[in-house]
Amino acid sequence: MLQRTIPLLILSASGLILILSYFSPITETWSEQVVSWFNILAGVAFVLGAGNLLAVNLEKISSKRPGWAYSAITLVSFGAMLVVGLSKWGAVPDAKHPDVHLAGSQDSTQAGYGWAYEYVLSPLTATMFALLAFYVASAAFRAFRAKNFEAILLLGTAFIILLVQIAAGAFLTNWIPEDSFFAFLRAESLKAIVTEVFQTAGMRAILIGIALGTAATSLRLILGIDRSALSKG
Amino acid sequence: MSADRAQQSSGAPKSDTRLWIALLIFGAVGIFAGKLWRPGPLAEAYVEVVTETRVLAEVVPAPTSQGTSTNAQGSESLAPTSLEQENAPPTRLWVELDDPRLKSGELRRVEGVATEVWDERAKVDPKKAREQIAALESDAEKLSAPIDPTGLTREEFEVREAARMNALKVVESTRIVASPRDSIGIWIAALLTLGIFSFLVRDNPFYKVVESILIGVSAAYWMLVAFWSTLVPDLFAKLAPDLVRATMLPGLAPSEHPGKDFLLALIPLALGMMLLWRLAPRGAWIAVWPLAVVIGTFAGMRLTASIEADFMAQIAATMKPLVAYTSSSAEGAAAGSAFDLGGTLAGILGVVGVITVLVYFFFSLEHKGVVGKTARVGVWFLMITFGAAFGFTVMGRITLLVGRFDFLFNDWLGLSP
Repeated sequence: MLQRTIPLLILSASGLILILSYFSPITETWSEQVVSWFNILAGVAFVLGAGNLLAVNLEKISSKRPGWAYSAITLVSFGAMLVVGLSKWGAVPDAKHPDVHLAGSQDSTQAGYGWAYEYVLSPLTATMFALLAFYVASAAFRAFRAKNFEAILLLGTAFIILLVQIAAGAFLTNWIPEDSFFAFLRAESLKAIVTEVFQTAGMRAILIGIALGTAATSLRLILGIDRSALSKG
Repeated sequence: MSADRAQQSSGAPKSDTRLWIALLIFGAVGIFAGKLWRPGPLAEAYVEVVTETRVLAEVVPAPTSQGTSTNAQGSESLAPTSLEQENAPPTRLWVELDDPRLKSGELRRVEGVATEVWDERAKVDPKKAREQIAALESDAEKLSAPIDPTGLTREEFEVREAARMNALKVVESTRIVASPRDSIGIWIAALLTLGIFSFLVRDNPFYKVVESILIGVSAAYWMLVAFWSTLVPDLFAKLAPDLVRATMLPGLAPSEHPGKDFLLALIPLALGMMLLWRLAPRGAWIAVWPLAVVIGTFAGMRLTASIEADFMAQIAATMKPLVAYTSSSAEGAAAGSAFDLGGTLAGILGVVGVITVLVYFFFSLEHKGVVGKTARVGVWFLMITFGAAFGFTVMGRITLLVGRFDFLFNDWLGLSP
């Protein structure tokens, strides 16, 4: 009862309130309330994630498992960022309320939190994603083979998109007159044809499929047909 | 097999390692040569400092001749500004030291409250900062010399002298200074960037340290975002509005129904604590209740949103006239606008693409005969879609990469001319 039925009822009620609010203004305030709770719980989930990070890394340090020093670094950086962000260290005071320290803004690099974002988190995430450029290119080089017509289409499109987005694309096709029949072969036209005609059509069909899948899964959850989400206590 | 395993365990093959080391050495030599060519400090950073000063002032109540007033009907009534205004605490606000309302008497400074003074620093591009510093020094030198009164009337001299003093005040108050804090930040960012790039050679301790920092900092960052943007205004402000107003959100508007808000806020508080119970060694099932709220709400939101924004909107966007004219309006078409071959082909291809791809995704029918051929056309459209997506992904990553190189070469090493 406590572990299965009540959670199922809570799930169905929350989902139904949201659906009803779409069709009836009477339940609109209910849905706003439920969404507000959802946002708060999403916020608490970040605290839960941080707690889990602490638990996992502390366990690794205490048992001196291989790589425990890296866990210590993780915890130190986590703690430092948390202290700086919660205390609003170095925050720029709010002009309307300069006497309330915690009302200050910590967006600029003047504040410890803003500084850590600008010089630690932002470069790290950007470089991590930039690193993928090497691996995507490397994996594509190894995996892509023009074995059949479909593969040729994929490779050809990728090549066209990569070419037309750099100066070489314009350099190679700018000699084609804009008002000629072959103007569609100019770099900007090729890109427009690929993205606005073929890619748009493909993405539309994919989105329609995803929407149907999302709606079906949501209905299965709300009606209690799919109970797997609540099965692990 | 064993050779593969050995290669996997040691990271990149030796030839790759040599290549990367050679590239790194080549890069280092190039950077030092660049620095010799264009000498200048590393990680230069400047900020414009503006000093803000605020004093606490209170509104001076308007003088009232009588405590009572006479209304239109001739009966005496209590004027709204008399008794309430006298008893109500005066409105207080922080204003600039040279606020004109302080001089006009509209506001008066509250005695015994210290003046708040702080600096606000805004980053300035190093090249522009150097130019601005040189310009400011030159202006200060020119403006420091008094106006020559020869050939000027007394009034002209006074006007010019006042203008000079004002300009000098502006120049002297503009402070563009080097920022060691930001310079250190640039150094740290550069080392962290190189740490991530070091993974290209192979997995190494430098990369692992940087990776650990990324995990710790990003976990704390997202937790702080949730705390300041959601938990404080949506939860704590309803549970303890006075405390939150006094310590974190002084601009928090008073609630119309504080009691109701408090009671309703107890529900997410309880659910939040139940969610955190997941960290406890026993009774993890308690966390399923708040999870049910999260899953149910998200399912409800996505059900209507995906049907409306994705399903209906995409179908509506597909259902367009297949024959296109150079003028998009019906009147233009009727007036004999030219037939647009490209637009018509694009429209037909768009509809064909959506239908054929949907047929490919329809697995209730076996892909044979007409269905099979239609699905095959759908696969062609999908391949073009994936090819374009791949191209844009690679370009996006390369743009990020260029951004990182730009940071390393310009912000850190200062190699830009």
